Amino acid sequence: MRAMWRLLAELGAAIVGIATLVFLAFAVVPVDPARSVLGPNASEQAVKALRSEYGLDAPLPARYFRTMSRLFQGDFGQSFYFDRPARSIVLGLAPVTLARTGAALLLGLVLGMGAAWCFGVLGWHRWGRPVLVALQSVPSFCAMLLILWFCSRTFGRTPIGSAGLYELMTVVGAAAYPVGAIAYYVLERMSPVEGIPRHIDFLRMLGAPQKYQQLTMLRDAFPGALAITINALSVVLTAVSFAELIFGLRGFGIVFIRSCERGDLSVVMAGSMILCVVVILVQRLGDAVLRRIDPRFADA
Amino acid sequence: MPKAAYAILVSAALLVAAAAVLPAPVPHADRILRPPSGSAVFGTDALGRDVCYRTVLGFGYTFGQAAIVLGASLLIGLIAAVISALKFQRWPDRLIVVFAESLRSYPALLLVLMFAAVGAPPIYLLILYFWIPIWRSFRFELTSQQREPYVLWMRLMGRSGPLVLLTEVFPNVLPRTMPYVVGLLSEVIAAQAAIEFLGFGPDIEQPSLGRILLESGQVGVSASWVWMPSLLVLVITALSVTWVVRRYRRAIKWVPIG
Repeated sequence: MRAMWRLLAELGAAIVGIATLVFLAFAVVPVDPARSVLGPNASEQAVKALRSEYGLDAPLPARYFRTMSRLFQGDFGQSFYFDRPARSIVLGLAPVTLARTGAALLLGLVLGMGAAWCFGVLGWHRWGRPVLVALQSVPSFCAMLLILWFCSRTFGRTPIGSAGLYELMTVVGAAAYPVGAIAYYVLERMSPVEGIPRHIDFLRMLGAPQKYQQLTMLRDAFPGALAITINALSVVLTAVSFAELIFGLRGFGIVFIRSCERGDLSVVMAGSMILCVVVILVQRLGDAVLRRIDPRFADA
Repeated sequence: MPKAAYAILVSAALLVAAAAVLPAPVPHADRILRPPSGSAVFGTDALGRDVCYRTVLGFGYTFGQAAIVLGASLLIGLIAAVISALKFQRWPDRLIVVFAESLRSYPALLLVLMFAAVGAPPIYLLILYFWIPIWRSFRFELTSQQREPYVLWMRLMGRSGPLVLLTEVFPNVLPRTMPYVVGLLSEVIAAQAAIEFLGFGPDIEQPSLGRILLESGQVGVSASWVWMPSLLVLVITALSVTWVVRRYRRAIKWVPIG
C-alpha cells in the first residue's frame, strides 16, 4: 500500500513537473499558434478571434491554472491544427508507436540473450564485443537512414510501396541498441576472464556438461538483462519516433514532431503526459518484476 | 583497435583545424551532384559544393557544440552531485532526485525537440538533459565513499564534511567517473546531430553533420556520396569515443589516495 502511494506521489510530481515545463516552453517563447494555424496572410481580427476562442488571450497564470486543472481531469484541450480533442488524437496514435517500441524491446531482449549465448558457446568473446559496441553506439537516426538506403538500393523498395517491410525494419532498427547492450552485459557475465561465480565452479567440479554451465550463467544474467531492457525504453522510443519520421509511417512520433513545429500545445501536452506515465509505470513494473525474480534487487 | 581509435580522433582534429584555416573551395554550378572524382574527393552536392570540405567543417561544428554541452553539463552535474552527497537523502537531495527523474522519464530527443521547436536554443536544452547522468554517476560514487576508512579517519582528525568531500573523496572518484563522462560524448554528438537533422541547427551558411544529412535527404538516397561521409563520420566518432573510454577504464587500477 505504501509503495502504491509512493508511486502515485512520484507520478503526480513527474506530471506536474513535465506539464509545467511544456506549458512554459510554449507560453514564454513568442510563438503564436493561432497565427501558425491560420497562416501569415490571415487578418488580425481572425487571429484575435481564434485566440479568444481557445483562451489564448488570458493572462499567463490564469492559463496555467486552467491547463493544470483540466489536466487533472484528464482533459488536454482541443488541438488547433486537427480541430479535435488532443486526447483522442494521442490515444489513437500512441498505441501504434508504443506497440512498435514494445516489440523492439522484446526483440532486443531475445536477440541480445541469443547473441550472447552464441558468442559464449562459440568462444567469440574477443570478436563479438566490437560488434556489440557498434550496435550500441550508432545513432538511431543514422541507423534508420542506412536502413532506408539499404532497402531501396538492394530490394528497390520505398516506404510508400512496402509499408510492411519498413514496419519490420523499424522494429529491427530500434532493437539494435538493446541487442548490443544486453548481449555485451551477458557476455561479460559469461566471460571466463571476468571471474567464474562460485556455484558455476561447483557445477564444474561435479563434472556438469559445458552446455548446462553456460545455461546456468545465462539464467543468472537474465535479471540484469531485463533491467537493461527497461532502461532502454527511452532510447528505443526515440529510435521509433525517428523511424516514423524518416519512413513516413503512421504513428505518434511524427505527429508529436509536427505538433512541436506548429506550436500545438494540447497535442504536445497530451503526448508528454502519456509518454511520461507509460515510461514511469514500465520502469516501476520492471522493478517489481526484478525484485520478484532476484532477491538481490529487493535488497538494493 | 584502441590505437586506431586514438589515431582517428587525432587525425579528425587535425583535419578540422586544416579546414578552418584553408580557403573554402568555390562552388560551381556546372559541377552539381558529381560523384567522387580527382577534383572533389567525396564529390559535390546539389549546389556544387565540395562534400569533403563541408563534412570536415560540419564535423568541427557538431563536435564543438557537443563538447560545450558536455563541459557545461559536467559543471552543473558536479555541483548538483556535491549538494546531493552533502545532503544525502535530505530535502535538497530529494528535490534534485525528483527533478532529475521527471526529466529523464522523458525521451531526450523529444524533450529537446519540443523546446527547440518553440525557439529556445537547443544547446541549453541538451545541457538541461545531460547534467543528469553525470550527477547520478558522481552522486553514487561520492556517497559510496563516505564510509571508507580514509574518509572516517579525516573526519576524526576534525576536518569538516564539505572539505573532506572536496579534498579527499573527489580526487579519488574522479578517475573512475571520468570515463563515463567522456563516454557520454558520443551520446551528446548523436543528440546534437539529430537536432540539426530535424532542422533546428545553425544558420544555412554553417555546415553541420545533421544539416548535411537533412539537405541530402532532399536530393534522395541514391546520391549516397553526399550523405554517406557525414553518416560514417558520426558512426566512426561514436565508436572511437566508446573504444577510447573502454581502453582507459581497463587501464586504470583504482587505489584510494589518502
